[in-house]
Amino acid sequence: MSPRRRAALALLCLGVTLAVVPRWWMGRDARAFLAAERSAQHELARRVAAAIEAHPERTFFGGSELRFDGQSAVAIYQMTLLGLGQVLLAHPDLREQYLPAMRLAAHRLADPRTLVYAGTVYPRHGVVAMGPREGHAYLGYVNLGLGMLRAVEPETPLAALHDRISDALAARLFASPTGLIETYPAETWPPDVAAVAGSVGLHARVTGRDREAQLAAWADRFAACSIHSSGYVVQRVRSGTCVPVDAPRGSGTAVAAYFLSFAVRGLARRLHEGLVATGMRSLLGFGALAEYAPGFEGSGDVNAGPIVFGVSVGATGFGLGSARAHDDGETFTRLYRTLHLFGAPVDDSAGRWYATGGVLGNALLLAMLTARAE
Amino acid sequence: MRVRARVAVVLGLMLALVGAQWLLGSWLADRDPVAAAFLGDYVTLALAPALLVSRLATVLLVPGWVVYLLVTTALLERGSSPE
Repeated sequence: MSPRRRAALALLCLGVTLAVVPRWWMGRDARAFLAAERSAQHELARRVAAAIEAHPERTFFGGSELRFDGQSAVAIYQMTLLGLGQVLLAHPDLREQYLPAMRLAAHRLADPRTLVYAGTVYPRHGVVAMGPREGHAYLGYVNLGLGMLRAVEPETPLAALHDRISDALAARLFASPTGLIETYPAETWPPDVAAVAGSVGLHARVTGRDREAQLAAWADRFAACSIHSSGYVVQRVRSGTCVPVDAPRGSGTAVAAYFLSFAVRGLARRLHEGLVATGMRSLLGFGALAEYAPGFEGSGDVNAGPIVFGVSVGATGFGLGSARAHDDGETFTRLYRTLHLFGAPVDDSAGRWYATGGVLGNALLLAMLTARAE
Repeated sequence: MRVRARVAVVLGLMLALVGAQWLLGSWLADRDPVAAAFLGDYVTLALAPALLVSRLATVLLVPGWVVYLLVTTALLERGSSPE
């Protein structure tokens, strides 16, 4: 065979296999997660639960940055609670296996010593007390976790704290002319506010309270202030105003779409559709989400994670939860293939673990891959 | 026989590659690449991207390479056949 023919044959083989094999190989598990299959959820859940139970301290990274260390611990416990809770809602027979890890995560999440930073910028940590003009929107993450524990264990001793935080956050949220409240003094992050609204909606759901009208009115104010014409949520605004001080970002939009699925389904769906229309990038059946809306640019940070060719780990990871929560199987499958390729899952007797994610990444993925479409 | 030998070599290489990736993945799974950045664990920080590049190459290139080898081997075998 001539070298020319040989090269043509090589290209043909490469082209045909590229179009067929990678998407099949990397997408095999997507259907199982989409169908909320017990084995797929259980394998990841038991490894995440074991990691939480085996960890002896409240925080994980022991870094010198007080704020990041506390916030990452809050994210790990919150996502563990959301993920394990979603697994239990789908498979109630696993309740006894996962409730101990959920209780441990909830107590650490509600412990003011986990996010020490909040008590250094406010007179007191919001779990202890909230002054009348203080936002404390970081509590949205805490409160969503507590809400999920309560959804699977209504008799939890943390129910009274959950009621108190929910009422305090709801009062702030519904009184805000912009629909926004501060996370910390002089810092207003709309994705954090989406967590607050999600937690208020989940609290209403688990306690049987009717907050639908208040949440609908809030959603209009939030949308007017925080959603850019691209469909992306602005990452940060100047406190007390709707003036952006950061770009519309994919990571914030995706996580907001997931959080709001607990509270205002219409707004959550609008964010998800904007996310896909503006940010979806696909190649060979693999999908990823752009971090910055068209016309904006910037670098990676703790929210976005690394950004490669304009798409971010954060937007793509949270996008899985948004797609799952909105029953968008096509988007979910494309994003899942990318996760499977770069997450490098390892299956052994302990369960499944995405090797490149660490405990933060795996807790987050558990929540995103098991998000509920109800 | 020649076809069988080439197929065996190709499959052996495939298995070795996947096995090496599994070992590396298992090793990384016992560590935490996110924490490594804060703890200054440069070995983990270096091996995580190595695993990703290796997975990318395996998924994108190896299937095509295997098919190409099988096709050229079969053609070669047919061409050299006394029939």
